[in-house]
Amino acid sequence: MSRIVLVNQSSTPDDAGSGNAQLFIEGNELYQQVGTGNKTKVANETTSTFTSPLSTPSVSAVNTCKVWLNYDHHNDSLKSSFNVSSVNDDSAGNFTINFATPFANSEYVVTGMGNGNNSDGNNTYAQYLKNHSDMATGSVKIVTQAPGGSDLDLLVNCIAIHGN
Amino acid sequence: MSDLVNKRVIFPNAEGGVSVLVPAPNCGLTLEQIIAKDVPGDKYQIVDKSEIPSDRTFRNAWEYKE
Repeated sequence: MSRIVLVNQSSTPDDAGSGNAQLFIEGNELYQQVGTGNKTKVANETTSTFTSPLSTPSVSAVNTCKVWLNYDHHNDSLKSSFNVSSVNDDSAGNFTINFATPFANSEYVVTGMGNGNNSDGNNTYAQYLKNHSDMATGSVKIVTQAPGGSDLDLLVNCIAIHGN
Repeated sequence: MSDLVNKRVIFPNAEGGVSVLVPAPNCGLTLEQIIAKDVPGDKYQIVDKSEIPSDRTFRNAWEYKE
């Protein structure tokens, strides 16, 4: 196995020049610089490495999706999921996702897409957070609506959550 | 673990209706552990999935009864 040793610079080196690029260490940080552009810090790769395979019920990996699920509210069926202990069907168009391992805080990011059963010939269904106060470390409440604004069970709820 | 697929837990919710808990079969927890974690309060019933009405037309009118 070979290795590359980077020497700590006391100051920013000269530009790499057109068509070239360089890596260097300055102040214990790793930087890259391309052509005559500005230097940019390179992310600490040791903090963005998978620490466990996603096939196990672990959420120790950082910078990865911590929760995902495909939930059929219309037939009350959890088709697939990761780090979900259960889904509560609370009422028409309202459900709660319970996390198997909670987040460190409630400042996570929820993204999702959904679709109804198409019986009304309309695909413009809404999917949103019920209330910001319902974003807890261990669960989150979701509401889905028909185009007219009434709460409606969607056939497909695809949701992914990122956070700490 | 696969038995979780056919189980549901019903319990009264804070809105005055009834919630139906759908357990995730791959989460590594038993149904009892899921209930302890995800069901608020001590009123609940474990039922078979087949006992939940498939007609959801009046879903918001469902009530929890002991």
